[in-house]
Amino acid sequence: MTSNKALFKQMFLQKRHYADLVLLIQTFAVAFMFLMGIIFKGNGNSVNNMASGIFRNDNIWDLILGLGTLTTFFADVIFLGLMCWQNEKINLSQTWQLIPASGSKIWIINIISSIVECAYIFVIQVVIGMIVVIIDSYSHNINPFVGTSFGANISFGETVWAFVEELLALVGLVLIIFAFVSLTNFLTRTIADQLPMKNTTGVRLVVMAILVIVGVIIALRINDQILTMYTNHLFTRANKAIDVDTLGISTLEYWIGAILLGIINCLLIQKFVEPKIVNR
Amino acid sequence: MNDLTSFGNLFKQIWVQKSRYIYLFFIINLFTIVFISLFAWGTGNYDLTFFYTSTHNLGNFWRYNIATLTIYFDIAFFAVTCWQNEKINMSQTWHLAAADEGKTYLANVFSSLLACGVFFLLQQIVNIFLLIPTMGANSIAEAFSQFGLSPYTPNVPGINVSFEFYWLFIVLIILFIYFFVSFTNFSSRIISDELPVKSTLWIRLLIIAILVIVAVYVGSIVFSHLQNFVDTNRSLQTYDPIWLDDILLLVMSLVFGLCDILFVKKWVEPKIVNR
Repeated sequence: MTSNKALFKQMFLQKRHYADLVLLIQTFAVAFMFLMGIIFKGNGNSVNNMASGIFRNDNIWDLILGLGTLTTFFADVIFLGLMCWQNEKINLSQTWQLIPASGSKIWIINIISSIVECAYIFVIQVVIGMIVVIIDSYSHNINPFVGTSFGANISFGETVWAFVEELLALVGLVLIIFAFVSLTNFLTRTIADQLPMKNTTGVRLVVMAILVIVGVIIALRINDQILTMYTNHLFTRANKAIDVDTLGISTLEYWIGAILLGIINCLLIQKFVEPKIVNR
Repeated sequence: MNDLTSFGNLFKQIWVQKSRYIYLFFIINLFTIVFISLFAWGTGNYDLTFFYTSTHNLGNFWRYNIATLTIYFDIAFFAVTCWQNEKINMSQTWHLAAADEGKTYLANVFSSLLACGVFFLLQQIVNIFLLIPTMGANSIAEAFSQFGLSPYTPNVPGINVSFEFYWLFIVLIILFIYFFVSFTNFSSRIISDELPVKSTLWIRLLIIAILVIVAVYVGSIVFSHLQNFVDTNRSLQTYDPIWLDDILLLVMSLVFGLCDILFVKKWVEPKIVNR
């Protein structure tokens, strides 16, 4: 059980219930909105209007595609929230901490299994979306397998790089959110244990809120500063051909932030954090 | 035991339990104002992503941003009172009180409403002080008119005739969401108890999600039809048609409130583990 693979597998199986739950809810949402969208057509239906704003609204496949895209966004954000909660549940669970493995190892595998879980749900959503896109293209008499239908005129290498960069940005964003949530949780517990008053939900709530507010504002300020530095850097080289890539800068920030917070988390979990007895 | 069962006593006891959260949130709110102000003043940077000012000084920074900040904290506080409501609804201790279940439920909801009101009032007192540097004597009217809740808006001629309906709107929307949250909670428990499969958190989350999706969808359709109706009807546009939303919310609150009272009387069983 203490091998990385076995740990990962157990955590993955525990969290997969929630991936299935979110996918099931999304399927229900699309089916329900689709049926209602067919019954209640017209201007009064704001959900239909939103869905047709993403793609056109010529036939039922457009509606399905629009609704699917709309719900994917919400489903993924909700799933991210569920994963944060599951992460912290495992981090503070006595059962998991009884495993003869170091606390930081359990934390890292916990985070990695959540990332893989996010990939799992996203790949399923994208594959189903691709199938609907193909059907939708044929329903408009467009062959989706001809390259020009995507309007792409850039080289293969650039496309792959842009794709990899976007993936890295997404993974980095998810990583830093997980790491920040864990950090807030661990720090709150460490600080609330040290305070002279009784460790109640109320005290923890205040400490947590203060940590989040200070953390978010400082992070936004740092982000501002780095973007300004990047823009100034571009201006000094304005005579050369410049390639503005703010996504790349953000990705770098996310990854560096996630690694820093991750190291702090590993230290905290080794030294200070004690699992709870009542696990909920 | 007998003296706890009157509505007033129930209300008071539930209120004592909830009022702690008012002070907690108020402390966090005050801390945020102080921290953001110090940060903006110290760094000389008054554009902090969510918060924007045209003129770079502290007075204007407060004037343009306190409403945003107040609303964020109100939403957070509102979510916490929803959680507190359901905690009391599901608590065995509260069900042991020798009172009618419907009475306990109503005392619970209205004490939360009062808690929201007191929290908003505390926030507004701070807001009024923060507005004094820019608005002077008008600061009270300005603090309330930023939410449409004052009959008189500084620097704007005329009277906001329908301001009472905005107050009513806020009260009704809070009540409606409380009733709806209870409704979702109760019906998900009842349905998952009736299902042949084991009643797990998973099943309950599924039922809650389905109920919320259906309700949000139906709500969006109803409100956009209402908007279309107002847009096409000239005589309605001469007067702020917020009273239409008020009537709609009142009817919906009554429907869900009655359902909830029925549920607590007939079906809902408190949990043993209370968290």
